[in-house]
Amino acid sequence: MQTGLISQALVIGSVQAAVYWTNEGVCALRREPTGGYVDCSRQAGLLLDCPAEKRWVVNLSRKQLEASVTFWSQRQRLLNWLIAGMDGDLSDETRRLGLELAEESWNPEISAFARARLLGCPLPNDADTKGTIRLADGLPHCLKLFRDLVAAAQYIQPVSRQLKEWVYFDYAGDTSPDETYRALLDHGIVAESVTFLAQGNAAGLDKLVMQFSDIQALHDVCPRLPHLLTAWVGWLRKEYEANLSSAVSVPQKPASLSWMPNPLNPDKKRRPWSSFSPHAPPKSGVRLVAIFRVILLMQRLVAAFEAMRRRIAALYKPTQLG
Amino acid sequence: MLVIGESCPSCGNRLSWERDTCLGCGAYVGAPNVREVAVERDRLAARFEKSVEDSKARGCFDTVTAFTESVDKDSVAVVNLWPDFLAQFLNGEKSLYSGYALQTDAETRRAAERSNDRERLGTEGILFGNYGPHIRYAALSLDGGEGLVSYGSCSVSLRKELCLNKATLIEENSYSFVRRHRILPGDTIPEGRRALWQHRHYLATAKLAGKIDKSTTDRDFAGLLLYSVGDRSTDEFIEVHVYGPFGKEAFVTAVIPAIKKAKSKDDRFHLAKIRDSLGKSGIPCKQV
Repeated sequence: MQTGLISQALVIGSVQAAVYWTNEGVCALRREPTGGYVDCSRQAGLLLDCPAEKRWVVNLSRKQLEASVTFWSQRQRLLNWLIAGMDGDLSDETRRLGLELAEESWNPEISAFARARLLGCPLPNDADTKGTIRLADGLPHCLKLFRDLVAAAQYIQPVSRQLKEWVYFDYAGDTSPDETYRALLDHGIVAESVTFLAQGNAAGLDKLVMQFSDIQALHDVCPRLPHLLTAWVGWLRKEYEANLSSAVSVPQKPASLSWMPNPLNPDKKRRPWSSFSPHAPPKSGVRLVAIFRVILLMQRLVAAFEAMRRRIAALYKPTQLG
Repeated sequence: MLVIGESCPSCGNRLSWERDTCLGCGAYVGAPNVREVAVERDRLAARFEKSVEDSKARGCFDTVTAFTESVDKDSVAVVNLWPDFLAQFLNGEKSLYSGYALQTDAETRRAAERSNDRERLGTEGILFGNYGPHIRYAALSLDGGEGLVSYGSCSVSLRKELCLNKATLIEENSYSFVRRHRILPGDTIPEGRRALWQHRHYLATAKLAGKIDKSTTDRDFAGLLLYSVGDRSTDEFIEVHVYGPFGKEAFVTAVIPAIKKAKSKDDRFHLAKIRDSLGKSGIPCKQV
């Protein structure tokens, strides 16, 4: 058994396992149903072949690796149970079983990840959401999630595409764009956005900046986070103006993710969500919203000025000779 | 670096023993494990002949011959996986599931880099050198049954064509083989204890003929070839080494625990998902 520091590992939450590298070569471990861990190095190659999401972690002890496997297993398995609920290739009995397992293991931290993914990634063509809602009868958490998904489905593709474009081309930092995008998506930015769009909830959209701008994990991957969020809300409001009613304000606790502490760096704290909750707004909340709107207005003015400047510059551009 | 005395059929350059392509012209020259083990054929044949001669002396030649024929005709390579692993293996590529998997480029690249890791020690490094990371393990089974249950309660048998192109065998678990023969890095592997897929029956007989006697019947053959009751330390089997990755397309049949007997709801779900997915793919699935 590996006891020293593990330099690198790939955590595969959906199969409750990890492949890791030591001086002895490639090793693997898996989590047993009882919660213990067993060696499965023989299957390391197959685990690498397995079509499943893998998370890269570095410089950690065996205990920390086990904690990471547990952490991601809980989230990925809940997601997989819910996806199986939409899988029309499976029997109704199997799909219902998956949904029951999801309902039984529901808790705010874990389900926030599944919600962020399901409402953050475009609905695959082979997803049977109608059947899922039928099968989720009597399972309130699942039922609500899939109803939200159906309501927001039309927005997911264009909204997630826009955020991805911005992350890849306009807000690149030191972190790779796909890691940045995954962090933003997993924190629920797309899911929250499409939910508010489906509700026509302009006030909810306006709160997205405050909701996400103080999350340290997001700052780590996206140093220009406040700028991105401000522009993001501006884009959503402009793009979906016809759908939104500023008068509508649905008081709903967003599924913003306090679950995202880095299990390997638990010291990295962030301000608790509750300090931004619409149920307990800070006393300066109204003033903050007003300031935010002024910022938005200024941003639009700057953009208009810039466009005008470019047009003028183009008019006076000297003719290229030869 | 060791280089086998073999030349590329396309360009005539010498081939590196650890690669499946020619470094000169890029031609595919076959799985390196297959090329490496091929040269042991004569030594294996000698061991086989000796075991057959011994069986004549012990009066069980017919049974040993029946065993050899049975392995030649019916044996398959089986891989054992635990239920959620197999369920993921079968479904992970479907757009419904892959659409929600966010793999970053960095992780994909690092995994690929590490799978080509050249600084490897341990059993894999001793037996396979630099191509060790490309080896996938299976076990030889006569009945395509439950396989090595100590490594996972679900077993899948692999397509024979895949094995013919990419598999070799060693007469026991490679970890114990290296220890039993006290092989150190750089040592030569004892010859005649590995075989190409098409010679697996010779290897099985060379290894097991001594355990066959007049009381042995056809029914005992499967248990002789592979014995596993869930304890890795007592597992007895012939190990199959498959070079390179394979997907669910390589699966021919599967054996899984009876869904009705599943210990937990989670297990029941995964087993039912496996049954449904295999059924959809037309792969026979037996519940035991």
